[in-house]
Amino acid sequence: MKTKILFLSCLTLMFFSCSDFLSYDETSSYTEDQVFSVYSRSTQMANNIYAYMRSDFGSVGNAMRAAGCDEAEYVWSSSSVQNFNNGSWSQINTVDDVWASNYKGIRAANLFLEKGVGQTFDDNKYQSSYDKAMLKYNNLQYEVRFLRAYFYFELLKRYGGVPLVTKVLTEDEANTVTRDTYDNVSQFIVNECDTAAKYLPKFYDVSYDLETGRATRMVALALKARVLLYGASKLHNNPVVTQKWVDAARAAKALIDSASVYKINTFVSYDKIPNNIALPELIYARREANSGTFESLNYPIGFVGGNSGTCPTQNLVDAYEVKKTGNVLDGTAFDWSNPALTANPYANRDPRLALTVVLNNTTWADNQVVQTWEGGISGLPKSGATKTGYYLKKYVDKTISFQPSGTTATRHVWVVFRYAEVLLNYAEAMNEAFSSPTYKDATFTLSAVEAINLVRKRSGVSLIAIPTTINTADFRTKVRNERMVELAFEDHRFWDIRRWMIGPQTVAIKRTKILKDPTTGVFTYSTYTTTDRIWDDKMYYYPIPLAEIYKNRNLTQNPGWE
Amino acid sequence: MKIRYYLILLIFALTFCLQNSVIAQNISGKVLDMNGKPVFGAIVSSQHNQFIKVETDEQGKFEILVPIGEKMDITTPDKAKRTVVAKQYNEVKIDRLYSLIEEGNTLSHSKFETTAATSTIYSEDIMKSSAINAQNALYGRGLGLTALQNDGMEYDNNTDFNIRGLGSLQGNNPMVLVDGYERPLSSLVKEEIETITVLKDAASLAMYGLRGSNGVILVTTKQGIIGKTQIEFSYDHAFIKPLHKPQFADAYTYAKSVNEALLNDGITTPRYNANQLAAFQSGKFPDYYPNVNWMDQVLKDNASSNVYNISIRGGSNKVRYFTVMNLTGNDGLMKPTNIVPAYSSQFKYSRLNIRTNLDIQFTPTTNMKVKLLGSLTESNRPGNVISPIMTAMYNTPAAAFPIKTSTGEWGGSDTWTVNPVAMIAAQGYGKSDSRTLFADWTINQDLSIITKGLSAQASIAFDNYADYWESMSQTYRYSKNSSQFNTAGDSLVNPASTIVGSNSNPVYSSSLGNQWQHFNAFAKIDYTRTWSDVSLNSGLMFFHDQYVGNGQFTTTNRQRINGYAHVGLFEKYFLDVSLTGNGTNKLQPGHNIGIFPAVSSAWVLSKEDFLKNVKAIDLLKLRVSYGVVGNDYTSSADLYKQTYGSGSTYYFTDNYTSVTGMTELGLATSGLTYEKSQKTNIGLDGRFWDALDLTAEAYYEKRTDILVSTTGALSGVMGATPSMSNDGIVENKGIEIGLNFNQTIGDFKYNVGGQFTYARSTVINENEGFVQYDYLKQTGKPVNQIIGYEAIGFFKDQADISASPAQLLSTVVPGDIKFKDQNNDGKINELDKVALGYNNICPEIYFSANLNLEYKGLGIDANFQGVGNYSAVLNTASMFWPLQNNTNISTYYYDNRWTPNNPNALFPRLTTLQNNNNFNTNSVWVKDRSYIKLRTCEIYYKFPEKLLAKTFISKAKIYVRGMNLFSIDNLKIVDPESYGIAYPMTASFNMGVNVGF
Repeated sequence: MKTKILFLSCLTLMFFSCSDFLSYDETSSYTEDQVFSVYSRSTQMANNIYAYMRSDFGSVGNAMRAAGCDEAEYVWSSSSVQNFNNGSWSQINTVDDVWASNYKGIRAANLFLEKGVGQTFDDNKYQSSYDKAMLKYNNLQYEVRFLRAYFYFELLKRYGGVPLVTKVLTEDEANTVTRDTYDNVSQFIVNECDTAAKYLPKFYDVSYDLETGRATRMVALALKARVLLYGASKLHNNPVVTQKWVDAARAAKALIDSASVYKINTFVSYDKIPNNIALPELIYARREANSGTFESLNYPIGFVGGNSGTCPTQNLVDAYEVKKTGNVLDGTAFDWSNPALTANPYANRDPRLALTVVLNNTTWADNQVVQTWEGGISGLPKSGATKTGYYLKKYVDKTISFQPSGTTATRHVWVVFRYAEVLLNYAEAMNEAFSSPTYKDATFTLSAVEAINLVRKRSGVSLIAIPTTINTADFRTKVRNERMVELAFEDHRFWDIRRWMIGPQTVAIKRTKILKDPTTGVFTYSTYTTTDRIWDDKMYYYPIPLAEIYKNRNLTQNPGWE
Repeated sequence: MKIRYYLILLIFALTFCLQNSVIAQNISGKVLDMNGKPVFGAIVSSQHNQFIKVETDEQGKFEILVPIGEKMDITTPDKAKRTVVAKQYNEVKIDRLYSLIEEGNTLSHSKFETTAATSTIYSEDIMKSSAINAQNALYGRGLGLTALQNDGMEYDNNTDFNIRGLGSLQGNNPMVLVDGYERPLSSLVKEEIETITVLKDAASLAMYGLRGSNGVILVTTKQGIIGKTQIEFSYDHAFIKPLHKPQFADAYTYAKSVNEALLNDGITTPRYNANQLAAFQSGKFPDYYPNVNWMDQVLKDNASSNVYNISIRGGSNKVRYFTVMNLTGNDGLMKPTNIVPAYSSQFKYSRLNIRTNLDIQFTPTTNMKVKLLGSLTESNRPGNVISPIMTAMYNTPAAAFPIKTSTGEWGGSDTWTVNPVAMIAAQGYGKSDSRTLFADWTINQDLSIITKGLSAQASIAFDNYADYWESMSQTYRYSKNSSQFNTAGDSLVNPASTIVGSNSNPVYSSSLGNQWQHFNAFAKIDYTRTWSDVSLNSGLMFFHDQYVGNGQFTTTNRQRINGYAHVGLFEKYFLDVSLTGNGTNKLQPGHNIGIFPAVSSAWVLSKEDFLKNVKAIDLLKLRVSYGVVGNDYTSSADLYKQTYGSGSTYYFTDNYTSVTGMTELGLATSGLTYEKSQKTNIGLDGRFWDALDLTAEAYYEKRTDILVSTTGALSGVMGATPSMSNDGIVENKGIEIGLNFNQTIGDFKYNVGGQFTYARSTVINENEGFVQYDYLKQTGKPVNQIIGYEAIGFFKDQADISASPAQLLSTVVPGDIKFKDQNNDGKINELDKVALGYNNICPEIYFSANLNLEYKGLGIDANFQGVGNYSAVLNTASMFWPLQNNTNISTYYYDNRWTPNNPNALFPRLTTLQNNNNFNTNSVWVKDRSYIKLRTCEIYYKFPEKLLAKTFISKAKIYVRGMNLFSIDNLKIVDPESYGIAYPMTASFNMGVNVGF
C-alpha cells in the first residue's frame, strides 16, 4: 500500500511541478509596456505609420487607379480595376477598398499619440545623445498627426464624410461610431495640418540625423492646400461659397511664398520626376522597396518578362499640345482631321508625351523597338497587347531586366506632393475665386496665368505661355488640361474628374489603330472610340462596403449605393 | 498426446476439489482460431477454481479436470478470451468476437464487455491492398472512417482521413497513434500492422482529452507469438498506369478555338490567319507552327513498383519476437527523364523499413516490451516540384512551340515561357533522404504482492525524423521562333528565332527539409479483478507528451491524467466512467487545463435469460455513451496575448536607410479556450448463427467553442486585425451500419460484407455577420457547403439577354451562363447565390462492400468503395476553364462548348478573357462527385498444406490483383477523388507471391 501511495504522490508531483512545461511558449513579440517604455521600439511604432501611406504602383488589381478613368485602360479584363468601368462596382463588389486599411493607419497614429507622447525614457537620460534623441522623439507626434490627417484625406476623397476617430477605440465603440460631415473632416485635416506645420521642421538636417523622408512643414501645408482645393470644388461646394476658393488659393500661396526657402522652386527635366528622392520640386514621396514588380506589370507583352498593364488612352495622348514649326510650341490641340498631323502624330508634340507614354516604333527597355502595330510583337491581336495603341512609360524603370540571367530590382518612389501641383492648385483656385485668370493683389501677388506658365515653362518643356487675354472659362479648360498632362499617372485625374463632376464626359475611350504596310513599312494611324464604360453619378463617391454597414448600423451609405 | 500439467497447481486443485466433495473427471478438447488452425499456448482454466489451469499443446489440444456443466475460460496468447460450459469433448473456436478490442490508452476489452464505439481493421484486410503507402490500404475498411486519396503520388502522405464527417469548422483530421503514440502512419509498411482500430465515441475518446474530438486511429503493430518460428517472404510487383490522362485540343483546334473566342469577345481580327491555321493542320513548319501533345510527351503510360518483405515471428513463454524487413521501390510516370544522360529526373522512391518488436517476460511478474522501427527513404524528382510541371503540361497548348526546334534548342515563346519537357529534362533534379526512428520501451510489473489485481506500467517513447534535400539545378535556354507567310501563303518570310536565357552550369545545393522529435512518457497503475458476479478494471494514468518541430511555434507540450473504471455485473451489464484532465501549452497559462468526463454503458441482451437459449443469437448488445472531448486547436500561437511585433519597412535619409517599424498585432482573444465536443452515441452489436456480424451506430455531436474569426462582427473603423473567438458551434449527426457474413461449407469459404455511413453537419454559428437572405448564409447549412449561382441555361441571343434580369457580374453576350434571380430584384449580383450540391471536403455518405470466395485454396476477393452527397467544383484551368490567361483547351470542353448551333451545350461559349460571369462558383461547374470504385480485386491460390508438407515450405500463396480497376462516377473524364492539375491517379495490376517457412 505504501508503494501505491508513493507512486500516486509521484504522479501528482509530476503534474504540478511541470507547470512551466505547460506554459512553455516561443513568443518573440512584445507587450505594450515593453514597447512604449523603450525609446527604439516606441520610435519604431511611429515609423511604422509611414508605411500606411500608399503609392499607386498598380494598387487596384495590379492596375493603376488611372485605368479606372479616361487616363488609361488596363489590358487584362480580370483586374478588379475594370469594375470601375463595367458597372459591376457595388457596395458588395467593392473596388479599391481602403476603408479598413486607412483606419489601421489612424489607429496606429492614435495609439502612438495616446501611449507614445510624453514618454521621457529616463533610463537614457545620462546618455550624451539624450537631448538629440528626445528632439527627434518629440517631433514624431507632429509627423504622426500629419500622417493621420493624410489618412483621413484618403478616406474623405473616396467616401466623403467618415467617422472621425481620434482615440484608440474599443470594439463596442468601433461598432457604433457615426459619420461626420465632409466639411468637419476636411476642417479637422486643415487644423491638424496647421498644428503640424507649426512644429514640424523645414528640413531634416543634422540635428535630426539627416532623416529625410519624414514629414516636413511644407508637406503639411501641401496637404492643407489640396484638401482646401478639393473642398472648394464643385462636388463639395454646392451652393458655391467663393471664400472656399479664396482659402484654397491662400493655402497654396503660403507654399509658393516660401518656395525658395523650402528650395522646391527649381524645375528639372520632366523625366527626372519619377523614382527620384533628390527631385528638387519634390515635397513628399512614398518611398518603396527595391522592386521590379511594376515593370513586370507594365512592360509590353513581347518584352522579356513583360505582361502589359496600365495602357495610356488616346484621350490622354490627345491632351498633349502640338508645336507648329521650328522650336516654338504654339500650344494648339492635336487635330485628327488634319492629315498632316495624323501622318506622323507623335512628332512635334509637347515633350512630356514621349516621357509619359511608350509610343509605337520607339526604342524602349532592352533596346527593343516597341511594335504596337497590328501584327507587331506587342500589338493586337496578340493576347495581352495594348488595346489603346500605347504602353506606360512614366514610373516604369526601363533599366529593369527580366532576362533569365538575372532579374533586377530598383528603387521606386511615388510622388505624393510636388511643387508643380501646388502651382496648378493655385492657378485653378485663383481663377475660380476671382473669376479672372489675371487677378492679383497684395496678398495674391501671383496671377493664375503666371502660376500655370511657371509649370509650362519648366525645364525641357518650354511650352508657349498662356496669354493674359484668356477668359475664365477658357482658362478653366487650360488648367484642367495642364493638370491632365503635367500630373499624368500621379493619381490626380481620377479624383479631378470627381471633384469637377465631369464623369459622363470621360466614358468615351479613344484608341488608335496602327497599321504597318508590310512592303513599305509605312505606318498609318487612325482612331476610334469605344463607349462601353458605364458612368453613374453615384460614382462621385465610393460606396461604403456593405459588410461595414451591417457591422455598424449607425453608418449611412452614400447616395445611390444603398 | 503430450499434456502439460502445472503439477503444483494440480495438487492444489485436487485438494480443493476433494474438499468440496465434487467428483472431478478429466475432460478434453481442442482450441482453434478463426481460420480453424490450432492455437498453441492457450490457457484453459476453471472459473470455479483459479488453480485449475492448463495450457494447450501444438495441436491445440488440452485435458483438464473440470466438472461437466461448469464454466471454463479459454484465453489465447493474444488475449482473446472465451467462456464455455464444459462438456466431455470441447472444440472451442476463438474468433474475433472473443478477441480484445483496443480502446486506446492501453485499455482493451472484449466485444462482449466493451462500452465503446470502435471499428477494427485487421492485418489480412490491409494486406488485400498492394498500396505502398499503408494509408492507402484503408479505403472502405473501417466503419466510420472516411479515407479518400487526394492525388496519385502514392508515396506522399496524401490520404485524407475523417472520422464521422466534419464535426468542426477547421482541422477535422483525426489523431493517428501507432502503438499508443502519435506517429505518422505513412512511416509504416502494411506488413508491420496487426490491427487498426478507429475510436469514435466519447467512451474512448474522452480519455484523449484535448486531442480526441476528431476521433483517433489506433494502429497496433504485430507482436511475437508463442510457437515455432515463422518466416515469411513476400514479393509484389505492380504494373502501374495513369488514369484519366486529360486530352487537349491539337494545335489546329486550339488555334480555331482562340479565333472563335476572340470573335466572341468582340475582336474581329483573328489571332491565327488562314495560312497559319493551315500550317498547324499540315505540320509543314513545325518550328513555327508546331503541334505537340504535351500530355504524351510528359507522361508515359506505365510505371512500376516492387515490394520485398521478410518477416520473422515466434517466441516462447519468456521471449517473443517479431521482426520485419521491407524494401519498397517505386518508379514514376515522367517520360523525358533521360535526355540529359548525367542524371535521371524520374520520380523515384525507395524505402527500407526494419522493425523489431520484443516482448520479454524476465520474471514471472515483470514484462518488458521494446518496439523499434528504423526507416530510410530516398526520393528523386525533377529539378521542379510536381505542381509547376503539371501546370505547364495542362496550360501549354499544342500550338505553343515545339519541344525542340530543328536547331536543337528547347522551344519557348513570349506567352508560354516554360517548356514542360525541358522542366523535367533540363532543370536538374532534387533528391531527398529521410530518416525515421520510432522507439518505445514499456515495463509492466504485476503488483499482486501488494494487493491482488494491482499492476503498474511505465513506458517512454522517442521518435525522431529528419529529411535532407540535395538538389542540382540548372537553367535552360530556349528559342522563340516567329515568322510570317508570304502573300501566296505557301512559304515563310522573315523567319526569326531569338535565343532567351542560357544553359547554366549545374548549381549544387543541400538543405534540411524538415525535422522533428517527439518524446512521450506514460505511467499507469491499474487494478483489475473479477469476483463472482462483478468485474472491475480501474486505474490512474499519467501521460507526458512533448513534440518539437522545426522552427518557431512548433513545440507543443501536453500532460494528461486519466482516472477510469470499467465495472461489469453478471457479465451482462457494463458501466465505464472516466475523468480526464489535460493541459497544453497552446492555451493561456491558468486556463490551459481541460476536464473531460465520460460515461458509457452496455447491456448484453444475449446473456439475459430470455435470449440465453436462442441458438441463433451469439451476441446481442446495446451500448450508450456520452462524454465531452476537447480540441486545443489554435490558429496561431499566443492568440490570448495583445502583442506587438515587427511591422513594415520604411526608408529614411538620403541614403534610403531601411527602418523596420513595429506594430500592434492582432487583437487578443479574451477567454481563449479549447473546442468542446459533446458526443452521444447509441450502438448495437450482434452476432447471429455464428456467421453474421452486425454493428449499428447512431450518434449526435455538438461542437462548441470552435475558434472563429470576429471579422464578421468587427467594424473596419476599429483599425485593428480582428481577434479570434471561441464562438463557433457545429452540430453533427449520423448513422453507421456494418454487416459481415462469414461461412465455411466444407471446402468452400465465403465472406460477404458491407458498410454504410452517413454524417451530416450543421453550422449553428460561425460569426458570419449579417447576411441579407437565409439562402446566402453559411450558417444553418453543412460545414463547407458550396454556395454559388444557380445556372438556368445559356443566353441564346441579345434579345434573351435584354429580356432577362441584368447580370452585373460582367458584361454578358450570347453563350454566357444565365443565372436565376433568387431574390427577384431584377438583377443578378452577389445576393443571388444559393447552396449548390454538398461540400467538396468530405462526403456525407461513405460505403463499401467486400466479397471473398474461396474453394480449396483458390479464391477471389473484391472490395468496392463509394461515396455520396459529395460535390466537385470543376474549375481546373485549361480542362474546364479554358483559354483565359493564355491557357489551353481540353477536347472535352471544345466538343461541348456553346455555339449558336449548339445552344444546349454543357459549357458556356469560348472566351479568352477572365469572365466573372461564367467562371465563378456556379451550378455549371458544381457537379455530383459520388463514385463507386473497385479498390482491390484479386484472384489467389493458396497451395494445399498436404502438397507442401513434403517440402520445407509451410505455406504458399500466389495472386494477381488489380488496384482501382474502375470507377463508376458522374465526372467521367476526370477522377472524382482528384480532379485538379495534379499528378494523375493511377491503377495497377499486381502479381505477387507469399511464402512461409
